[in-house]
Amino acid sequence: MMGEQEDSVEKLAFHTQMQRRIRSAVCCHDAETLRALLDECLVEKSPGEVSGILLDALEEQRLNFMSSARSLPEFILTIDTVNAALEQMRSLEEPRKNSDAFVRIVIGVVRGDPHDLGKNIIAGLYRAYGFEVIDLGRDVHQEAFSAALTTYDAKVLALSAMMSTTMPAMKEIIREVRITGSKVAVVIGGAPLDAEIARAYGADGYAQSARHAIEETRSAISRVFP
Amino acid sequence: MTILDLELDEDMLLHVESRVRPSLWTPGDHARASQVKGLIKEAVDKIGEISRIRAVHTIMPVEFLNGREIHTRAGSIMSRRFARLASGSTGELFVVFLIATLGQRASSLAEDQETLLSRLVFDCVLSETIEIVVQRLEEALHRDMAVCSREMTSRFSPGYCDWPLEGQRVVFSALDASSIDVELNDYCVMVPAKSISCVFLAASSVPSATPCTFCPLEDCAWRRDTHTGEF
Repeated sequence: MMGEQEDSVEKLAFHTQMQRRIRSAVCCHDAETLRALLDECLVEKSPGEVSGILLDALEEQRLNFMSSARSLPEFILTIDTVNAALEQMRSLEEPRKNSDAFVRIVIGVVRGDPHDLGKNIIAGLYRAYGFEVIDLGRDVHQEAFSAALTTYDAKVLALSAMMSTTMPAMKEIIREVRITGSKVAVVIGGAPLDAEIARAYGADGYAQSARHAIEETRSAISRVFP
Repeated sequence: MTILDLELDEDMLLHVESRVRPSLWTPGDHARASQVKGLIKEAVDKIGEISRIRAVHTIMPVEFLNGREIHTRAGSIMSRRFARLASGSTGELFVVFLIATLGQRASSLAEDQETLLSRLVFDCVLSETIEIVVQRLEEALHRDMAVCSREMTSRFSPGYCDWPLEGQRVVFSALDASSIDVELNDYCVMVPAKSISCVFLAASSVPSATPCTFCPLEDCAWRRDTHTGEF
C-alpha cells in the first residue's frame, strides 16, 4: 500500500515538474529543450498525455497574447517552437487518428486571392493545437475545397479572403458544401469580413484574428458535431 | 507615360527598418527582441539585394466632374469623397495615375521563409518597403508639380475609403502596367502582390491633401492628416 502511494506521489511530482519545465521551454521559445523534455516525458507518459501538457503550455501563451501581454511576433514564435517540437510526436500519434477527438481541417485562401500570410498563421496555430491541417494554399478553386473535404473526411473547412472582390467566393463554397450535404464546420476569416457577413454567408464561425481562431473553431465544431 | 527603374538606397532601407520595428515590437523580452531585430535586418538586406523596383505613371486631364465621379479618358474614378476634393480645386484639373512594384522575386520572398516568424517579418518589411518607395515617388511628383505651379493631393488607392477595389480597372486602363510586369487578375488584385496603384489630383490649388477633410468618420483607421496626407 505504502509502495503504491509512494509511486503515485512520485508520478505526480514528475507530472508537475514536467508541466513546469515544458511551460518554461514554450514560454522561452526553446525548441531544443522542449524536444528533449518531450522525449523524456514520452518514456513515462502516453503521447496523448504529453500532448495535453504541451497544449496547456500553449494555451497559457495564447491567453497572454489575447490579453496583449504577448505580442504577435512572440506568439508566432511560440507556434513555431511548439510545431517544431510536435514534429517528433506526430509519428507517435497515428493511433489517435481513429479517435473521435481527432479533427482534420482543410484550409485555404479562396480563388483569385494571393494573400496567404493570415492563412499560414492560422494553419500553424491549428497544427500547434494538434489538429491535422490539409493546407490547400492560396487562389484555391471551389472544386478543390469540395474534393479535399471528401478525400480527407475533414470536420472543419477554414476559408480565408483578404479582398472585397474575392470574399464572395466564400459564400459560393459554403453553399456548395451545404448542397452536397457534407457535415462540416465552416470557419471563415479575413480583412474585409465581419461576424455579420460570416453569418450571411452561412459560416459556422468567424475568426476575426489569430487571437480568436481556436475558440471560434472549437465552438463551430461543437455546434456542428454536438 | 513614364516608366522608372528605381534602386533602394541606404536611407530608404533604414527608413523601412525603423518603421517596421514598432509593428513587430516584443515587449520586455530582450532575447526575442534581438531575434526579431536580426530578422528585420536580414529581410531588409535581402530585399535591398533582389528587389527590382519599377514604376509607371502618367497624367491625364479631367474631362468632367460631378458629385460622384471624376472622369478622364481612362474611365471614371467612382468616389464621392474624392470627387468632392476635386470640386474644391481651382484651375485646370488633372489626375496622375501611378503603379509601383517590388517585382515578382521580392514579392515571393516571404513565402520562401521556413518559419512563421520569418514569413511575418519578411511580409511586414516587404509591405513597408513598397510603401516607402511610393512615398518617395509621391515626393518626386509633388516637386515636379511645383515646378509647373501645380498643387497635388496625397495618394488615393482603389479599395480604400469609398472607392471600390474595382477602381483598379481605371488605373490599369490609364497605364500600360505590363511595361513593369504587373498584372491585374479577374478579382482586381495585383500580381505581384507587393505592388501599389494609386491616383493623385493636381490643379493650380487643391483644398486639402486628402478627402478625409470632408469625412465625418473621425475614428477611421485610415484617417490621414489634412495637410500632409500622413496616416
